[in-house]
Amino acid sequence: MMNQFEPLYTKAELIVKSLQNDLTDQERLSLNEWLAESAANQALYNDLTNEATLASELAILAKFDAQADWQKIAKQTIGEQNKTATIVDFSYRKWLSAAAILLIACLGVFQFWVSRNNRNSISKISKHPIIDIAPGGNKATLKLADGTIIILNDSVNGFQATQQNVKLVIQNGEITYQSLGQDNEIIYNTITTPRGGQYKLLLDDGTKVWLNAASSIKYPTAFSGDERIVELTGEGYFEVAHDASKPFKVLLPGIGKVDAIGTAFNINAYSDEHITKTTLVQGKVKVAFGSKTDFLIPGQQAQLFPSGQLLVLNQVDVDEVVAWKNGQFIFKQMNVENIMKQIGRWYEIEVIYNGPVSQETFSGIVSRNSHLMEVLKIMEEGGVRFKIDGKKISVY
Amino acid sequence: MFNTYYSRLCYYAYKITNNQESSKDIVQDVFLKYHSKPAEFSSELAIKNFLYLAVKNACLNFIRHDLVEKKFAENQVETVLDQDQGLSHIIKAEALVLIKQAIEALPERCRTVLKLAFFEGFKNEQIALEMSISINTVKTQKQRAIQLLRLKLTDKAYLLLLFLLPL
Repeated sequence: MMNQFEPLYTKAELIVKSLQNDLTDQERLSLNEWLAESAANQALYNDLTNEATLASELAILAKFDAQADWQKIAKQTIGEQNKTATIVDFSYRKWLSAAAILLIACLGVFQFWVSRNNRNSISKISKHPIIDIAPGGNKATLKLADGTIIILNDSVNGFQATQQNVKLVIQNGEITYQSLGQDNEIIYNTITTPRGGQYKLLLDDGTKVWLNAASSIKYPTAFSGDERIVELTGEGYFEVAHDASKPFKVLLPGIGKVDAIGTAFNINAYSDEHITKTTLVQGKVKVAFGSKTDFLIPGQQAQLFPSGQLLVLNQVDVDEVVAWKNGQFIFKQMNVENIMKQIGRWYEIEVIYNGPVSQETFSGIVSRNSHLMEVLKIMEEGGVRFKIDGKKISVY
Repeated sequence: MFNTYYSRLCYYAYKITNNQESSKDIVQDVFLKYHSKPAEFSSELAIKNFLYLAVKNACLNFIRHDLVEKKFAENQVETVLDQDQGLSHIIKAEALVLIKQAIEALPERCRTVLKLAFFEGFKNEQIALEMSISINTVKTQKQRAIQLLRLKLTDKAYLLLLFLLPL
């Protein structure tokens, strides 16, 4: 399992913090627990906190200089490049048409040559060895009809391929589908975003979909028949291409569905949000949850409660609802808990509440490209305190 | 990527294999392997985990091969490499890198003294000679550096007991 290493990184941070006298009570407890586990742990701690042994360990680390050894590995890689360009070790290879451009293998090596000098040095002596948490980005996985999974991120750019008469292009955090001819068989692809991820999709009929973090959408590579059906979990913003002859339906498994004809709307169906919210920006939609249905006009939001109650709100703040697809967080009198839910998904952090939290509400506009600190500032100014420890954030 | 993780991975490999050149080879091979399979990682953390795992496995293979060559039995090979041993080296590797980063951030003279003492293993007399300063200055700079880093370093192991007292 990959995660066998993560607790180790945490232990290292704890030890360095204890050296700097910068532990919270909880951290000190954690460290003491670990020290009490075995003599080996104590010995390790001792090696790092005793001046003599620390010096010798640092001397060992110093023996391995990336800059000096770079030359050797650089020369070797030129030889490897010619080999890797033709070796494609991916399982989706089988359905790539002859015209497909395989940039991925070459891109990998190209990345190596242009990689920045990632020294990660701390420019000021700070109390916390870990500085800040970076925002999310264009990340997702694409699952093809045959089950093959492709990882999408910014290094997969300018990639094209064809599956059964449908051309697929991946560029700049967006995947575009284009039907090349008539095909009766409908095949489905699924895009899933992790926490900290987002992706954009352009379907065969011209419909645009923005997918937020921790969400997924299942859709046909090309529409045929007299309906256009997709399945959504999490949050998505849709700009449906107008086609009166083929109604567009978004199925929300376990919840209901939203029918649209040439419209723009946002659906928030996160399971941890309790209330499923469909907000209409433009056009017309029909929402159907269980036995209840309703129609929305622009500016209205349908809210489905866990109890099954369906409520329609007039004049909701559309900007606040769709801010995410425009690369922003917009909070208008939002309380800490709701703000943190959005933040948790984008910055991939786990939120822990230490005691009752202020019920104060906050307003602000912040770019989603900001580091976490920028977003937290809004609440810090209102007296809310945060403590970041790796991927966990405690709220006071 | 290479610059960020190279030295800690080599340190880790060296702790397991005890062979400087082999450690470098192992880590460099792992990087080559990483670069021949791009676009498969979902985060930097995933890359880091992959690199550590790959280095660990390569080191185990190296040791196995080494021991087998020396005609040890298979079961003896397993006991030589205790699971925990491997893992604790990762904690050290990560902690050392954090400490090194903090040292790099010190004011120039302080930093040089500390680097000579810690990274090069110079004694105070040697540092004084190297930097053309008095031994007293060396000691003062060291103290200052340790204070700036707010490092609590001990000379005696049993002081650890203080940390084990209940809150």
